[in-house]
Amino acid sequence: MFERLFRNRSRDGSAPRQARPSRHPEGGQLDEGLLGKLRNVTLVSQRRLTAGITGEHPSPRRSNALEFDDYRNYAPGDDLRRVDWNAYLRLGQLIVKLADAPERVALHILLDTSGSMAWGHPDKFSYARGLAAALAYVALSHMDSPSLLVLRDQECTRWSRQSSSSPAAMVRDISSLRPGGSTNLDAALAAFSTLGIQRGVAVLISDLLSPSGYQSGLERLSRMPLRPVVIQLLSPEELNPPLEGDVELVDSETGDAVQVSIDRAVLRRYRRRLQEWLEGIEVFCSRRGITYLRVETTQSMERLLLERLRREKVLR
Amino acid sequence: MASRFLITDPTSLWYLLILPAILLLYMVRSRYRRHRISSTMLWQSIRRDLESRQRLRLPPLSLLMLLEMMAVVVGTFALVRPALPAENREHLVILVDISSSMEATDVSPSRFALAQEQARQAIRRAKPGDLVSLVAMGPSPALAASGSDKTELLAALDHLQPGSGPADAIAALRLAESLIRSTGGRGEALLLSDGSFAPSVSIPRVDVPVAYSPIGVSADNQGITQLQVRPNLDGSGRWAAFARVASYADHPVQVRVTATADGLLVDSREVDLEAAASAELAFELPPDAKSFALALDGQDPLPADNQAEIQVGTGRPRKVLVVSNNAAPIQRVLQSLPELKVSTLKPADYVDEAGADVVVLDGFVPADLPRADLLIMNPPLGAPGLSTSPGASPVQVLRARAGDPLIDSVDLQSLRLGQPVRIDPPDWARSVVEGAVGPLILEGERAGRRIVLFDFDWSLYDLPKMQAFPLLLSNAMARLDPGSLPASIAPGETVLIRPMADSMAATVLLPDGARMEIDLRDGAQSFGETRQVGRYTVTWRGPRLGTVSRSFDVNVSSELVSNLQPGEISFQQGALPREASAPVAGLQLWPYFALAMLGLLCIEWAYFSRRG
Repeated sequence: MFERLFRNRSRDGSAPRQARPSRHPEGGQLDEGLLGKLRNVTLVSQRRLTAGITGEHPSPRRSNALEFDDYRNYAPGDDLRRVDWNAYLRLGQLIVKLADAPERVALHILLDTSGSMAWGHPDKFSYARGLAAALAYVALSHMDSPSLLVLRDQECTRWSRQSSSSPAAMVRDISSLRPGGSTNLDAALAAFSTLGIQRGVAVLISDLLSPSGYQSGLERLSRMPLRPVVIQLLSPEELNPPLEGDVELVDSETGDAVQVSIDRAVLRRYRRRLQEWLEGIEVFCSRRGITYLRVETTQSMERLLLERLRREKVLR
Repeated sequence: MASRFLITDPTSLWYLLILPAILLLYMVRSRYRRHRISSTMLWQSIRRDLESRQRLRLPPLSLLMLLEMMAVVVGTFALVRPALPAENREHLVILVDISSSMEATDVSPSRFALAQEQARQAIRRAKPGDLVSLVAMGPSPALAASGSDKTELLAALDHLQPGSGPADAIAALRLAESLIRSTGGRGEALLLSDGSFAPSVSIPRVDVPVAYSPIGVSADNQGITQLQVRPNLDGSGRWAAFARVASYADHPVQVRVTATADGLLVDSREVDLEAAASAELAFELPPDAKSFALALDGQDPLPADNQAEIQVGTGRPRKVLVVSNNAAPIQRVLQSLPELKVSTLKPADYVDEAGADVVVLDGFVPADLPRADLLIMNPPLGAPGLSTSPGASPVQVLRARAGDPLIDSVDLQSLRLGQPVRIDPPDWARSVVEGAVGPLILEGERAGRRIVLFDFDWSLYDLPKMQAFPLLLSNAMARLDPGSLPASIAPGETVLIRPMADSMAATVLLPDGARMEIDLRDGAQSFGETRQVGRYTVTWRGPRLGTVSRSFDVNVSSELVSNLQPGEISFQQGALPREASAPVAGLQLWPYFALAMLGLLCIEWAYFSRRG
């Protein structure tokens, strides 16, 4: 479904392949127009150095970037886009601009593949895959290095190799994912923290509906030398259950059942409890410097990527 | 609220008990519907606050439950039939005289037509909501219609027909009283009659206002007021007819009287009648005459009383000959029965039936059976025409044909009968009662005779002292002559038609040629369609019976009818107490409640369909 989705420069500079538009049900749509817009955004690196100090640092490496702080004479093979044509007009000399080489942002996409993600209309996992693909596209468009890690059971498994990441490969990796089973978020994030990752941005895409909880896992994540971002996906049915009467609710992950007689009072109680839980997550993340976004699967991917993630300075 | 509307059927309020049943159904937990969700994490956390484990719970406030309960309440209100009280409602009872005198044409087109028109106007004048009752005032006054629907009342009025016997005015007025009393005591009676009944009755006090104005203007009428036939007392066997012809004119009149017997002219004469006088006439009938008719040729307002017809020979007592050496007990019973003339004879003196209609052969069967209907009792051994053998005594009744008229009202279980001679049932007979060794009572027809056979010695075991004895004899007599009919009746009177032999139906031929079938499977039926004047013929048919016909006549032979002088009546009128506690229902509200319930059910169905 994602084949030929991305258009990107390969390492040898060859023309990027055309990507076909991908459609996610309802909110998670990625089409050619969105992909075009995504080429103009980049990940924001808020690298941690020590003691939680964040912010960008200039890189010691010089590159042919647009932002420059020095000149040198043109040498055959230099990118003509870097030539300062104003200086040429004044001086009649080809001069190339020099600037700080921006550091490549390592994007770590942590995808919750538990059974609870395969639920809802639109279903959360399709949305999550689309979001993961979009973020990976953004990273690959600007030569950042995305990696996809799958959270399942108590494990955090790298689903793609960072070194060999290409748009097509990334698409195949993401589209081959299937949800199922149960995810112990705390244990899976603890496993992630042991991978020795020292930099980059970690985007956790999950519904956080883990019976074991999320606190210790996110605590670990917040202490890692990278920028943590949590995107919590929820379906409309989880926010406003369309249930009434005597029902036996069966957990799609664990199979546990609870019998409830649902009326308007019970629904009000549920919504109150849900709100308390969501607010608790928000406060928890805020206190630990975790960028937190709550996304309903009916929200358009474009708005999420181009507005909300920009607002949160995850993208720019 | 109770005074604002009436509840016609308060017992329907019991349907409100369905409400707690609905509540109970919602309180009892239904089977849980299985539903898969992403995670029960949050539901588990609130389950502790819920009492979902308990079998009963407070009924959830759901739209569906509310709709169902509202539908029950509204439906119950429809069933109790609420109505708005009809305030100041009057009850008008219209008594329409349907006696034969109302056919008089001294007023055009007739007295009855004028009464009908007056009744129509009274119905049309009634205020909306007022109650009107229509009573047909004949020999047995009957309520023809009642209500506020003028269309229905007018239709019932159009169906009334005159020609019945003299009106029973007292019964009609009492009926009007009870009708008005039943609706609160507000109302009056409108008597539409010529008052011809007045000279013969004394109208008692009436507790309702009665509006009356006699219909009719003239008493100038002549008619046959009496007709009967009798056998001559000279022993010739011939019959004579006696008639009374009356004139109610205020001047002398002459009328031609024509007498016929079996359609043949017997006599025709001019009769002079003084003013308001009558004349007695006698006519000699030809031998073997079956019917006699008399007619007046006068032109008067009431032609119906100008002719009369009567059967000759019917209505006379049936002759019964008892041939027995011990006739006294039998004779005693038979003589107590109406329409029987009993004579006795010893078997040794028997020659023939001597003109009897029924012959009772007790312990004796002649070689030549009498030419009459037969009751054979205790046949001897070797009786001619019967296969006999020694019997046994006593015998108990084993089986009986249920519902047979021969054993009507007879307690067979208590009978102990002596059967010294038993007979084999002949081909022409069927068993009605059977004992251990053979039939005890049989009946059938043979050679044109109806025969009932008692195969037991009635003199044994004190049977004559038991109630069964006269009952058996009476039933046997009725079986042997079921077709007896009265000779002449007045219009509107009833005639009892009995089943005969194997014929379970009878056909009545009316004077106008119409035929009516009478179902006699349930026994004798009263026939009351006798409004027409003339000859009625009743015919019975059956495989074994063959065809038997009898006739009776309906004649307007009554002074009350022929005397057309309109009767002036003064009523002693009282007053019914006005009962305020008995309001009458006016506008019915139940249709609106029924529509509302239907609407609620539609909303419930739509809501349930959408909810899925």
